[in-house]
Amino acid sequence: MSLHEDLKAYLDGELDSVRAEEVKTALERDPGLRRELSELRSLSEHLQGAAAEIRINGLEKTLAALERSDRSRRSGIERLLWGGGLAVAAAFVWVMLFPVFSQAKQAAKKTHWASLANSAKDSGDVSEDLKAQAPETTATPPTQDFARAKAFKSLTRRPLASGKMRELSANQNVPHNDKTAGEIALQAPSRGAQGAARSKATNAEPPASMTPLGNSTAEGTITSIVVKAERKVPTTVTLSFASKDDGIKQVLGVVGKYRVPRQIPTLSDKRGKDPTLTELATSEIMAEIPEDQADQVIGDLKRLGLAQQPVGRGGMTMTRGAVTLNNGLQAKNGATSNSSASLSAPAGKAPSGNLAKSASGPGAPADANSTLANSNLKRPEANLVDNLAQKNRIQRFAARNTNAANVSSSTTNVNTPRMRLLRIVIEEKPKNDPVP
Amino acid sequence: MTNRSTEGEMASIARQHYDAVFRFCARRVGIDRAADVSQDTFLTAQKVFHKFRGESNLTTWLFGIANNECRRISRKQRCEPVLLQIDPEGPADDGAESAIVDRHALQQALSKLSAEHREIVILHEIEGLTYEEAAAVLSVPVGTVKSRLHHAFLQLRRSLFTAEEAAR
Repeated sequence: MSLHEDLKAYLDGELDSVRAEEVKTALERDPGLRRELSELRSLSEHLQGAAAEIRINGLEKTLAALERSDRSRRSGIERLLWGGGLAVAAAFVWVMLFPVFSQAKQAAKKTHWASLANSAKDSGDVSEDLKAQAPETTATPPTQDFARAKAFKSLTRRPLASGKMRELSANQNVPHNDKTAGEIALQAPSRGAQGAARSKATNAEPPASMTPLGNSTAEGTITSIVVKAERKVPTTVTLSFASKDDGIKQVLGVVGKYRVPRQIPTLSDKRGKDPTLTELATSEIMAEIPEDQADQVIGDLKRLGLAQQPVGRGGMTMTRGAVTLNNGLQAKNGATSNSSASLSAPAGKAPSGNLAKSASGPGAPADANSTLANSNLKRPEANLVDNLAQKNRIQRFAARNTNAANVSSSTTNVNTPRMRLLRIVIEEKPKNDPVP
Repeated sequence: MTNRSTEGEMASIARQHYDAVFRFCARRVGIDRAADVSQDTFLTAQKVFHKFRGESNLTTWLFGIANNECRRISRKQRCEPVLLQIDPEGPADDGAESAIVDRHALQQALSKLSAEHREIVILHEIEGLTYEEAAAVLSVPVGTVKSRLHHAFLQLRRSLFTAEEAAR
């Protein structure tokens, strides 16, 4: 740096002693440098003396602002500390008490369902067939949390696992008045003895091989059918599947909503609990459903197994998507159900399009590959098939699919040709069973 | 340091240094905005007071914050450079009339300086900061301060003394 550049620093006393001595020596020798120094000093003095005195204001405002800022910051910190403390305390309490509540709830459930199952077994008016299928005292109760119907969405990702519809066969032996812990009868007003007699006459075939209850507690399988009935008349009954997945019972999907003209005597009524929700401990349901609605039930059951995307409000409406029936039920949209189905209609009755088509295996007639969507839209009369031939096909189909777990369902007329007794049995499909 | 002590301390600091900060801001952004900028300076200082390690002078630290606030407000409001407030009735070495003329010329010469040169002149000549303190306020090396001062004074001398000689 040149002497000229250091002159200002020399004037300000900002040079080190060595450099200051050099500048001093140069100043003694160079009058031009001295003149420059003089100008710098004069200029500096002018600047320092010329600055106007500035009137200060705003100190009080600044102090107030500082106080406000500090107060808000402190309150924010306090809120944070309080909130954090409360959250920690709540978490601590939850962690400490959750095991206690959980155990108590589990114990209460076990006791309740054990007593329920025992009472079902002890009831005298239960048909032998159903009595044998009453739940053991160790049966795991299905969920009472109907709100888990949101799991309905999962249906689109997960078909009904290993739940199978094996057959819908005539079962005229079960009187419509029979009610057990494992069944619910949806009854219309009696149509009289004549209707009952006609009904028996037209359903002379003994029940097909009733599928025993599977292990309904296996993960990912249908373990029960949930029936939700309203107390008012006419009653709306909602059927839905429930499953136990990772120890949590979930409603897999809603089968459908059906209106019946009278109030339903439900298990809930018997045990004096919430009458709006009844859950069946077994995987069997007996439902006497009006004729015009029974087909819809069956169709809905099948559609439920096809993992179609739900549409409409509340997930009650199932998409009638393109679905073909093969050995198993397959959806063209890629959601493949490993369910197999064989259905039969009661003699003299007109099965619906669903019934007829779902009974068809790979070697079935041409309509076997028709879509469910189409079949659902058809009137039952349009899908009349020879019942005997149909049953034969069903038996052959069932024989080919002995490993498949099934849903067994029977339909029959009871009392009146306008009613149909629907029996649905869900059983577990053996693990590692290849999807047909 | 607790919040409570910070609060009390900052109020005390504000009382002690408000005048200097206000003057500094007034010379940078004008008296009209000086109060707001000074307030922002102390509020910012309150927020970041925990970062102050005491390695530099507190005044220098506050001036540094004030300098940033002045830059921010100037950029935000697109302020014109503020002329140095010259006291027209201040003491003069020679006659009163020539002193007023000199101060007016000085103000004009200062306004011709770049922002960097003007701010180093204000910090050193008017606020009385040393090179090191000015360097700390501006976050530049001491050598830069020295160089900027040299060039600022060179320009001032050219403006003032050339005009003076021309007037003669």
